[in-house]
Amino acid sequence: MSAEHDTADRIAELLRRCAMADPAAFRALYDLRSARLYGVALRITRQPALAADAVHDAMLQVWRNASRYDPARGNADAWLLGLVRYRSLDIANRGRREVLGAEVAEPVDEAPDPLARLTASREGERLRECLEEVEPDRRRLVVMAFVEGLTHSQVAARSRQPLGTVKSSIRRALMALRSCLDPGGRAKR
Amino acid sequence: MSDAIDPGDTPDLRAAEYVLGTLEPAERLAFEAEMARDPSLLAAVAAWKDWLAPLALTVEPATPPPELWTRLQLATGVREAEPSRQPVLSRLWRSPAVWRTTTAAAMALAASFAFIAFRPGEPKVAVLLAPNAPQPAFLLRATARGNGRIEPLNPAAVEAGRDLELWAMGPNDARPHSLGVLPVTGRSGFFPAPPGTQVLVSQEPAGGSPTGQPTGPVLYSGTLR
Repeated sequence: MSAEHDTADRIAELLRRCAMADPAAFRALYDLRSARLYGVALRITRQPALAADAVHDAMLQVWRNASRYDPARGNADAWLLGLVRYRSLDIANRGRREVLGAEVAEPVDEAPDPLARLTASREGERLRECLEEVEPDRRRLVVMAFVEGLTHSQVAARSRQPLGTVKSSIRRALMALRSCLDPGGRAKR
Repeated sequence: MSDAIDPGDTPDLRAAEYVLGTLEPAERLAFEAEMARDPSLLAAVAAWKDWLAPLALTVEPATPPPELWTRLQLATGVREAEPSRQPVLSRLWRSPAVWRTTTAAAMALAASFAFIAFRPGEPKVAVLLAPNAPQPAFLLRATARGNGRIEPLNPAAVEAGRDLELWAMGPNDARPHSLGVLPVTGRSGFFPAPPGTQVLVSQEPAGGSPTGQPTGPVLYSGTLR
């Protein structure tokens, strides 16, 4: 069992304790995950103050609504990440994007092989195997959209491709991922 | 599936795009409304969250600013103290049994607080505790007329080149406001604070926080009762 998998179990346990208003669990959760969550929020909002707001709001939601996390419904780490991404996308869409209008292509310190980091967890390893089956240009669009928190039109502007092409490329990549990650179609459609 | 054909728009794909974050703001709202009507979409969204979440591993973690934890503490009322300390102290205050069973030293300590806390009307007190020390570090007393005094009981030595700064955040305040830098010998002054006000002592650069908000770790905290 990988270290990341243990981490997901630990997070599930901390969420359970947060649901019972255990402050030490809240602090432990913060210590364990704030850097990962802030990193994610920073890439999406691109401003430290907005990223801090996103993590603040998400952690506050955790404290108030930890009882809403349902272990049967998914991985605890993914749930936590989902909260922060949701707030980050919301904040980014309300603020910067509308003000800026046209997307500016910004240099991003992309790791030479970002997918190499996925091997840190069992779920990540599985995703990586499936991503490697996806055509590289489409894969790049999916990873860019997720990491930078971009909408279809923003991905189109960034990659200098027509919107329709971007949409269908991403859809095809997602469908390929789905049939690889969930070959029997067991997850509910 | 041919490369030339768009796979089209299925609920599962919309769920995937929703989790990926590529839906435009209006589409996003429309999908959320759809989700509210059709709970089966929630399962699709949860599955996609699990599948795509590892992509976050490709992002470099970054240390959040220290005041983020302070803000969370204030918003949640979570103390940095270990969970057992505050309940123990408030039990001490409330329980008559404690007078019979605790040691003389603990009784003396508890009695001094109990006297202040239980005296009808004024003053109100806040006992400021450090996260990992059993001893109260500061005692703050405030009258309804807005006069207060903070007394050091057992604070740790202040790091060289640093100052302690006192902050208060009322039940309806969005942010803490500074009550000034603390001389280690204690301080008297105007302290307009309703009951329930969170009182914090943070460690700041010499002369106090440069931003008007706590920037350093919150060393001691308590609630005015």
